[in-house]
Amino acid sequence: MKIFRYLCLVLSSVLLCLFVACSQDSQPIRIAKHLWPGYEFLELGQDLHYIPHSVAELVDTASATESIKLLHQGNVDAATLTLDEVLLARSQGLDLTIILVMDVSVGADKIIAREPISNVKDLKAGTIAVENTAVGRLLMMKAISSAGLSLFDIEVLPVTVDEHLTVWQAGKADAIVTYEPVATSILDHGGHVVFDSSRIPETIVDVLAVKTEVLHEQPDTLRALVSGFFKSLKHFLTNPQDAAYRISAHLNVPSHEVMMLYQGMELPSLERNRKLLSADNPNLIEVANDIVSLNLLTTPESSSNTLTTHLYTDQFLQ
Amino acid sequence: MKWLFIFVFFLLSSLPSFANDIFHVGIFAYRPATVTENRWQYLEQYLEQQVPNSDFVLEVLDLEQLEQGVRQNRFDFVLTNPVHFIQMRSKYPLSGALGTLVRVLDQNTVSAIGGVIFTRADNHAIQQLEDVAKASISSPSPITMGGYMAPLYELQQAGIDIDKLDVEFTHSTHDSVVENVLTGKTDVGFIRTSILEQLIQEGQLAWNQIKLIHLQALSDYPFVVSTRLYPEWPFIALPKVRETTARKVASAILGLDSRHQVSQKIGISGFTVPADYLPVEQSMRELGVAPYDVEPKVSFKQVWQQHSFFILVLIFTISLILLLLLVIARQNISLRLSEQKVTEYLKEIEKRHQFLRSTFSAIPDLVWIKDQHGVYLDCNSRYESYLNKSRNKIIGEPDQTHFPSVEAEHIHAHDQEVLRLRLPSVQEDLYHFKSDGHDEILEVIKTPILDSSNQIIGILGIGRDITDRKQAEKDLSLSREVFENTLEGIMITDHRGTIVDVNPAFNRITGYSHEEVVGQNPSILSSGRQESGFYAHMWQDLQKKGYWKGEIWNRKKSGEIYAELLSISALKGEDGSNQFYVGIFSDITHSKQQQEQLSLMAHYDVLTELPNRALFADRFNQAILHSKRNQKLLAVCFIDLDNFKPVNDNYGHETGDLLLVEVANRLLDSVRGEDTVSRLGGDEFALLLNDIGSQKECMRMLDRILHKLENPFVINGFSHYISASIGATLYPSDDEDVDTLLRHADQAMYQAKLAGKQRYYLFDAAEDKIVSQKQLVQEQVKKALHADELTLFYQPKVNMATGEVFGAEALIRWQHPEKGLISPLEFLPYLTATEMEVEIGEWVISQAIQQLHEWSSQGLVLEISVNIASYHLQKDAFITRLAYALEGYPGLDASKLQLEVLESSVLSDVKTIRKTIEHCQQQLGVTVSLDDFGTGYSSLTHLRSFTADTVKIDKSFIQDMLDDPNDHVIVDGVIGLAESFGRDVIAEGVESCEHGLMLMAMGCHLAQGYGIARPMPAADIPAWLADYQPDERWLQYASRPHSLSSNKALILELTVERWYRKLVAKIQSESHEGLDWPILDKDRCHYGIWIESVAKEHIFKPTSLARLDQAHEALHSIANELFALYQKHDYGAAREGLSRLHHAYEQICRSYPDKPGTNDAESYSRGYL
Repeated sequence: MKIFRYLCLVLSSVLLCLFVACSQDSQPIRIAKHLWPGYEFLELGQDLHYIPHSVAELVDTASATESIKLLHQGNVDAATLTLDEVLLARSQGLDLTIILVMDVSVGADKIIAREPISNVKDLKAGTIAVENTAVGRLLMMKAISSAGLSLFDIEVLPVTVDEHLTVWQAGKADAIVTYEPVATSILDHGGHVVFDSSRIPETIVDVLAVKTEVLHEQPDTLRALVSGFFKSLKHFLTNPQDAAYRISAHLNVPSHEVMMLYQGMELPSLERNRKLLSADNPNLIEVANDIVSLNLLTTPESSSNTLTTHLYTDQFLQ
Repeated sequence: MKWLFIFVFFLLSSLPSFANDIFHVGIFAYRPATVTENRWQYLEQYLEQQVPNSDFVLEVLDLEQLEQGVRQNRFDFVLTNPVHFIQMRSKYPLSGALGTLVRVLDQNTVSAIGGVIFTRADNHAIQQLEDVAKASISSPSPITMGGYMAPLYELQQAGIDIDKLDVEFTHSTHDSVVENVLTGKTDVGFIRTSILEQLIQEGQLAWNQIKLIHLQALSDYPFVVSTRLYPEWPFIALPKVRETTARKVASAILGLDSRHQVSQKIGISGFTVPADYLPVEQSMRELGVAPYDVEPKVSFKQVWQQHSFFILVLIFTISLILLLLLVIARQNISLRLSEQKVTEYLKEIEKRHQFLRSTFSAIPDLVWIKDQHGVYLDCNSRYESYLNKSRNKIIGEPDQTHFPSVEAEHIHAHDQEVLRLRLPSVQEDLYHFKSDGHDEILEVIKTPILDSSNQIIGILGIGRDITDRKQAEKDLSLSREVFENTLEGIMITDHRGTIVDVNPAFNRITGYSHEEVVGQNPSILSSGRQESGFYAHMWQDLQKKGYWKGEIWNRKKSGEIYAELLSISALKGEDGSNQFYVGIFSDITHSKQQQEQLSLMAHYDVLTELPNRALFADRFNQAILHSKRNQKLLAVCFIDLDNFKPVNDNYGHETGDLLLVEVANRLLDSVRGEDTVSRLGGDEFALLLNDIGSQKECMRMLDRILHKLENPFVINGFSHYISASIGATLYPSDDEDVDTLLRHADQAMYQAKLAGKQRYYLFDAAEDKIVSQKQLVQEQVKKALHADELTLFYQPKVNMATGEVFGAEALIRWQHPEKGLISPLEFLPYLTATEMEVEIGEWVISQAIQQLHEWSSQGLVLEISVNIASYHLQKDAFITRLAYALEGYPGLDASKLQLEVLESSVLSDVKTIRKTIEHCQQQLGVTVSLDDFGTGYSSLTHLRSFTADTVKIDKSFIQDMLDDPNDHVIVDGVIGLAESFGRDVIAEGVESCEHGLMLMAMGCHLAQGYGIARPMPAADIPAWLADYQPDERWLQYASRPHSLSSNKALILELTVERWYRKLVAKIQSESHEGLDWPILDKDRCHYGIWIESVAKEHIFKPTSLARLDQAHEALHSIANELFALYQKHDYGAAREGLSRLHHAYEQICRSYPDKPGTNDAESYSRGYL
């Protein structure tokens, strides 16, 4: 009799466990993303079912600014952003944590100038079109200071990325700070690169930033998302032919040109991500502090140092 | 002719075709063979054009044929699908792909291939991938990429179990699959990309006939596709193809592009660089198809990652079940255990019952049980034998049945009494056993038996046989009588020694009552007179032997000490250990006292009551142990009264005896309690003084004793004055037995008597030893002399200036038969001032004279010098005996005999010696030399007092004069002195040519030493003389006249060279021992002193002196530097500096003022003093 009692207890506890395991909540993470080759592995992952729709739902936006807006509105849980955009969002009161570095710009962000300007120095008294983001600003600041110029020497024309091509075609600027795939299109319309992010390594990083509350609520889903991302990256690297066709469909460039979009971009592997996001690695925080010191963020002085605390985590890199 | 030409022409033109290489190209027919062949024939021609001297044979085959060809190594090149490529690569040696096929459709070129999943347009059941899982599928072959592998992979990725798919392979072309689907043979078809498009182009199919599943949106891929894309077909070269050919073929196929005629004819866009077939391989691997159909190695980590939850649940469940099983098993075991316990308990009860029954019968006592009315309930076998009835007959009957009525009545009455009182009763009585008629005294105990409610239910009787006990009690009372009445004291103690009992005799002897001593330790009787080890010894004996017997001093209660003869016996208990000790003793004090008197007489002098010699010896042995323990001295003294005999003679023995008693008393007063005064007999006493701190202390005590004895002794009204002579020796410096020590003390006393009595003399053990050693050596030398073991060696003496050998010194040697040649230093010192010394001396003289005679007869004219000891020289008979010896050889020139007298020896008796010497010279004509000159205290005096012919400079000065300026000064001085007094001077210890030159520069020309010759037997002398070559440098020196300055320069040269050599040798030796440093102080070295001296004398020009001084300074500065390096163990650096030193030395050599200048003094001088 006693034995049966024991067995019943065991059976019920086993069933309970199973029930709990199966009923884990699996609401998909909503991710805002705009067009950028580095973010395409999310699309590729969805395409190849590495990132099932039960794990993530991708919401296309026109720009990072719109992505941040969606975060504010609570329409999305995460967004693909550059480091500075994450800091901007945090300065606006959004509690975001970086869980993944998707790419590191080593030349993908460029300053393109039209003839007869041959180098950055020649931009003195010229007009530079730039998206009013830290990446753009940072690249521009680094470029002009490398040429011995200051902000007073140039005219800055703020333009969002979706307008870059039209502004360029209209000839409204002597140079433009832009990035792929727009950069390739602009170069097709005449122009040449006078400065790019390979000159400032590990400064411009594209990341996946997640609302910190989601971090605690859906850790398993995030883990699945990150794991799917790396499977997708692996597919890209091992079967580039297939990947190129799929990415070209999203980016609207011919498939044979897809691989060229990734020039000037480092795609960090899982291991590299672990290093970049390791608590021991001060690099990301240093760059973040650099960006904060550009004073682009409209944030009170006092909270400026809290912007970079708990900025990232490596807990989902498994 | 014409035909011949044609023939030759044909022959020639056909030759190359024979020489052509033939290459077989296998192509997989993915479409019907004819279609494929028609298209690909153009490649054959193209390749033949591109690759000279080659024939290409294209074979379009199905997979099986193709693989067979590869297996048989028939093909040189193969064009097949990627899956087949990967499979073949794992089976056969294949080189990599030369190129990857590029297909074309409507000007869109593709080098990627995928799979198409499709069904009939009217099949509504199949809409998406999941539906395919349940449908029947047609595929061309498992070894196709698009036709099987790619769709399969897609299904697997979608989570469909691919093992359950219903796939039917046509083993034919892709077209056959399309046909199967269209005809409805199967629901779904798997084909590669571009087939549908081609069929439609060929008009064999229309898009509306079919429905595509899982269509992929790939921007500019020209074909419909349902799967991921993979690289197109590879064009493979097999390993047997030469590399040059492979290269040419590769270049040819890569040269085909979409515009090329051949490409267009084949219907492809040409070939592109070989693609990476990794994706194909990976997909195949994940699908687990051949060649990857082996079970993948699954690591625990992977399993854990995938199924962690289920594994945990499983482990948990299994653990719980195990736990439950454990609980059940435990309960089972405990149940079994309790069952076992009950069985065992029952067995135990049965066993106990049996045991009780057996015990009851086994009891040696009589046991019976009756009820309260006296009827027997039970009894044991003893009771049966008492009544001589069986148990059955006894039980159930009252006593009336078993005993006569009166007795029965009596028993019953007693039983009832016991029951009434409810108390056990004990009775003793004689019982008669009816079985055999014997009687026993029984102790009968009757006890009422009560039940649990305290009601009487019966009576138990037990009868015990106490016959033996009764007898023992009787015996014991007899023993007690003896104990009480015996005259010997008896004391009984338990094993710890506590007194248990004593008898009345004990009380009588000791005075202690029974109560006073019982419970006490026998030590209350202890007198304290027994030695410390006594009781331990006694106990040891008791433990070992079980008894002890002996005499012992005890103390009575009154305090009086008495002797008892005691014997103790140990009484052993049952375990064999000593339980009690019985001591029986009687008082033997009286007989003890008599015995003591006897002992006193044996150990003591009757007259003075002092210990006699025997006791003295005993005391000494004890004192020695004491002395060794305390590290103190022990004095043994021998006292002899100085004027005792006249007292005895003049006043009679009585007075003498009284005086001796008085002396004994005074001696006892003078010493401490622990010292022993003993009379040895007559007027001789001995003292044993303990714990002497020092010799001084002993002397103080002896002084006290002498003083005490000086006072007058008043005997019978007359005063007597006596004194004593005391000899003493101290142990342990005189480490001997008592008899020897007494003898030594006796000897010392004798010395005291000799020295004038009334004093003490201490025996000197060390002196005694030397004396005996001296005697021993003397005896040995005496024996040696008689055994002819002594011999004379001769060391030649030369004149260095002439090279002439003018004499030899006779030196004594002892040729010992066992020890070999013994140096005179080992025995001559022991002969000092003895007759033996004289005897040896005379032997030497006679030998030397004999040798002189021998040599002169051989024509050798040599002087012989002999060493004469001072004691010998002082002998009265010396002169007469010498004269007698000389008289033996009348023709001998006595002046050739030289007596060498030690300078130090002439001290002892100057007058006698001077006389003897003068007599020898004047009367006998012998010459005399003063030996070891310079070592004495007043050499100058001696030189003046003695008319010695020659002065011999001691070799210690000669040997060191080159190194030590002080020795040089002495030698120079002695030479000067000898010259002033008109004496010849000879140097001994000349070890080198330099020594000789130096001596000559100082004015001494006669020499002996190892530099010339070692001492040798007389027989060797003639041969040596014949061989002797005088030193060339000496002769050279002597051949020229020398001025003072040139001698000075020579001395400088010699000493500086010596100094330099010594320094170099030291530095090169690298060792701190062995060689010495030369004098490094520049003011104290030869050179420095030389400069100082010549500067005073103005012998040399100041300029040359300045130069020399400078060179000297330089030499020393380098030398000191090297010395410092050497001290730091930097030997290498020190050696390196030698070249500089050499340079400085050469500088000095160049600076020698060898040529006398105008200002240099011309007069001759011996040295620089």
